[in-house]
Amino acid sequence: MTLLRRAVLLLVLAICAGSVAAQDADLPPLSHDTEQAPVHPRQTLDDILKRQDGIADPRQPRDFTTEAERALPAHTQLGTLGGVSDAEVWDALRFGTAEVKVSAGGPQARVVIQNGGMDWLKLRRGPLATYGGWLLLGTIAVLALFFLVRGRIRISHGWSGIRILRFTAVERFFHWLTAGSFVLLALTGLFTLFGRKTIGLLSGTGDPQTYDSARAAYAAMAHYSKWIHNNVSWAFMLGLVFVFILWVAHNIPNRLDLVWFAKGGGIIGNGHPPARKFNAGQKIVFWSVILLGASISVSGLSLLFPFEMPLFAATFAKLNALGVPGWFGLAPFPDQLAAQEEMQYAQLWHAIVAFVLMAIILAHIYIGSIGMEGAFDAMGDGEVDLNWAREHHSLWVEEVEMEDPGFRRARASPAE
Amino acid sequence: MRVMFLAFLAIFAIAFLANFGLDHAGFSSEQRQSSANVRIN
Repeated sequence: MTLLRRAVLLLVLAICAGSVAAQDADLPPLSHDTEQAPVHPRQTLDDILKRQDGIADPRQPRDFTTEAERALPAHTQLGTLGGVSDAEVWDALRFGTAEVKVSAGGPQARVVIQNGGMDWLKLRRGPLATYGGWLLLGTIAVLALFFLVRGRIRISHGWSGIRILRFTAVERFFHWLTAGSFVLLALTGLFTLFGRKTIGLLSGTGDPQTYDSARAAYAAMAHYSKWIHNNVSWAFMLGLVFVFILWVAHNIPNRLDLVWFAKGGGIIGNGHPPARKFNAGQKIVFWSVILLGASISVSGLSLLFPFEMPLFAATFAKLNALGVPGWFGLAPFPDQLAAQEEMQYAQLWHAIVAFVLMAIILAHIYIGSIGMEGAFDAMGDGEVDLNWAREHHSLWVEEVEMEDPGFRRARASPAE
Repeated sequence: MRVMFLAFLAIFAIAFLANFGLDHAGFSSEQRQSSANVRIN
């Protein structure tokens, strides 16, 4: 019996050993690979908290391909993902190393998670809104202070009662087409950036229902605001083209501009430096509108037709080739951008340039309205008082007098 | 001032025209940004 028992025990052990050996033969040498592979730091609660606080993101992009190659086959005990965990899949999606296939939508649809999107969102909500807002408020404050100190710039010799045609109907039409559309674009643009927060703050009674109603109202307003912003942009671009054609010849910088600057443009003090149709200050406004307006238009078109007009990777590559980042001690600009990153750069650039142009236009509106007596008439009905014209555009008046001695038109009562 | 108001009217005329034209030319923004099928391997 003892011998029989031993024989049975040996048989059982042999069967077990055989099955274990067979199982081992199916599996890749896990322990060996693990020792050789680089060890990725696993995410801890501390890492998550740090990231949420914006302190640092300790994780680096992982080589998902390598992870996948090391993974166990799908049919093994670890399931359909093989040796790759959910966290690793999400990591790969986040850092753009996962192979994503889409049936439609182009390269941008293959990006499931865009890691840089949070940086863009933080920039938009933070420095862009903060510095942009302060720029506009600061400009208004400076203009208000200037008005208090300097007062309205009067016509030194008073109203003459003689009118002179300064801008034709065509010139005025395209000025107002550009100006009116720009104001609408500026207001709706600011509403897009600040509207949600402002409406939330205005309804800050602490009552959740009031807050929800305000948010719902914002959604409706944002819908129409977006419609206006997207479609009015065409009028702005059209106006920009015509303004350029109509006035570029009069806005070429010349030596007179230096004299104008040397005398402070006549704004500071009582002197009136000579000027032709446009003085140096107006030329600054003209070129700002043309150049910044064109830049806003191009970035706006990129936003109007998403993913179809990538601008920044190519621009960055050219700037890098010229060595521009090095001039400012910066690292080369990224010249490989995801489709979403292109859109984010376009949005930031669009808003930054728009803020600068808005500040300049605020000053232009000021000097063309309450800041200077008689100035609005030029764009109001197109005719200005002769004394105003002689004080601010003396050389232009001489040119008009030489070309057409009978230009003057008496007016029964002074304007204003 | 008539020219100014005419220009303001033109802004909206151009806006409606552009919106109508782009929608009918297949440049509807909503259409092009509709969701795509995504499969993760």
